[in-house]
Amino acid sequence: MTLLILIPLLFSQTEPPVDSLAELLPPIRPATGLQVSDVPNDEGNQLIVRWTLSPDDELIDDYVVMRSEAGEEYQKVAVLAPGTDSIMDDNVLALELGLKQRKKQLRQLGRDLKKAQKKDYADQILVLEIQIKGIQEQIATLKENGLLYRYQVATVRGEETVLSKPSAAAQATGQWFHVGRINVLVAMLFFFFLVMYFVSQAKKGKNLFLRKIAGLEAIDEAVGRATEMGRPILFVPGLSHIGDIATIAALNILQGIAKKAAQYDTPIIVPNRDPIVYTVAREIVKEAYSDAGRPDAFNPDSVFFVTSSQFAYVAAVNGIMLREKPATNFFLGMFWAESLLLAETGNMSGAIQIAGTDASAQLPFFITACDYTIIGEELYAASAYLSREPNLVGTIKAQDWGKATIGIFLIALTILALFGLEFATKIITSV
Amino acid sequence: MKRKIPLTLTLVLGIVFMIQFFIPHQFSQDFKNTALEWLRVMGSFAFILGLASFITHHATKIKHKKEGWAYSPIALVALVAMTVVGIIGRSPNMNWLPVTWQGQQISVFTYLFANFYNYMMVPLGATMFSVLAFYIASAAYRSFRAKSLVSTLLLIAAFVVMLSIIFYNVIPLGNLGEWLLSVPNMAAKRGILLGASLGGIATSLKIILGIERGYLGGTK
Repeated sequence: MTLLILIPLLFSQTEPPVDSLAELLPPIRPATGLQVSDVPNDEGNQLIVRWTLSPDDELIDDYVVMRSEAGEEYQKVAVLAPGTDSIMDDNVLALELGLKQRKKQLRQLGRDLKKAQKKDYADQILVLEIQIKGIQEQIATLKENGLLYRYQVATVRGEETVLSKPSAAAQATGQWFHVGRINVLVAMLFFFFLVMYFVSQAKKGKNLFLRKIAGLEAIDEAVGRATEMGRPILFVPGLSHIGDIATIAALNILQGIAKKAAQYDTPIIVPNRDPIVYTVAREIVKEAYSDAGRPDAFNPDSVFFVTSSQFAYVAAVNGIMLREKPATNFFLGMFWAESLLLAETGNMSGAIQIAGTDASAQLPFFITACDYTIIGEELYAASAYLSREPNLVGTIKAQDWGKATIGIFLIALTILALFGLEFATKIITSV
Repeated sequence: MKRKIPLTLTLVLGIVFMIQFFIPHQFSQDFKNTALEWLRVMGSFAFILGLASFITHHATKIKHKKEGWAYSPIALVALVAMTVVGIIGRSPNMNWLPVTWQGQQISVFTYLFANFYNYMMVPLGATMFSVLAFYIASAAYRSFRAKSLVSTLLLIAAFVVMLSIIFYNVIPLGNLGEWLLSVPNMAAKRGILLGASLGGIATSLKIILGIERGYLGGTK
């Protein structure tokens, strides 16, 4: 009976105030073992800070990381959740960057001082002179001691804050070689060697076999069809910019097609989305007409800039397809969501269509809606395939050998990984 | 000379940027950023040429009354209107001819620019994009007709993938749909990517070394 009376009494007790609860708990202990190191392979603006968690990690609210630059006061860098034992600080500077920043400030202050002197603002001159002197002193100190950073981690629970011991001083440095890219360098040099070797073989007159590429074989037929029907050829050099290698590959093909069009006196229409691509395409078509011995037949209005808006461009090109009814459509280069809009409209207009892109997501749309599709690497092989120039054909063979080498490596490493050799798994997953 | 200068520039800058890729130092990053800024500046100048082309193209169409010429005046008027409204309306602290819009006093040009963009440009783009849904249906019909062994396989694979996504956990297909996407589909995709990447590198090398000159126009 006494127990029955005591239980509700026990639960009716109000909770003690937070302050008194905190007073009951033992004081929190700080994070320890702060270590600061420079981040490798960077431009010199990162340091990594690591520490051992406070033994009271589960009881704390957060860790506050603080940084002191060149002996100045500690400033808050980040507030981190319990359980976090490291941070990458990317707001630090290597010595040369620190000096550069301060010299820039000095130049600005110098300019401000001149202005103030011209206007004879005595107070402002005094302030600026003090600031300039301060920065000059900072530069001298930095040159003598370097730009050193120290860190402290504050462990926080409510109002209670415990500081760790300061870390040893560390300096951020920028590297002159990215060690993590050695594999790229080796692969690049190997590929460069292959290209050089096969180009020299091709120059010596060695017959280098190229497999038949249906899409490229069909170019002549497609141009011929337009000529027979007396209708124009439409060439869309993708929707990307000139820096995209697929655009350059497309422009290389444009050269050959424009030359054939000039020879057969078939009009060619080249609408462009990028103004730089437009200027290059215009020059290519103009030169192609000159090469074909018909510079007078070049129509400057046949290569034009439409708009840089993606879907407005599609609307314009679809309009051209429906109004001008080109007999042949070429969609070569880089395409996104508009690929099917263009190809399907072309399909409905009854044109023979040849598409080519390395955008794997757009390939199914082109394969579905076009008569021929030049897939991925075939786009890059096109200029060599069409011109059969030995130098260019040599690079195609190098490409094939490059692929074969990668294939052999992958198979060998997969077999080694199956036998449990860890280094093989590491290479496969990291390269 | 007309070809030598661009070829030399391509060779030198190509090699310089190849080296830049391996140098993470600030100096190298500054150089790259400066080059990118230059590229943007040159791109802006190219827009002037693009603008000239746009005006000439539509003016020619109007002059010769080519098929669909009636759209050309609309394009030219839209160009002028959007440019004027955009330049004036987007200028900082612009407060000419103030109007009240969404409880704020703004210039009529800012108001017009926002309305032209939100209620003309955006819906027109969305309309074009939405046509894609119908085109996908017609393209899918053509692709999935079982007229050969390969297209039958494609039809079955697509059917399994669609069922596994739409009736997830309803039809007992296990992980078959996911497996089709992540194993055979991914293998083919990676094969294409590998070839395309090597092709891209080979083309870059050809351009840097001056073996490929087609992009310069002409063959000589």
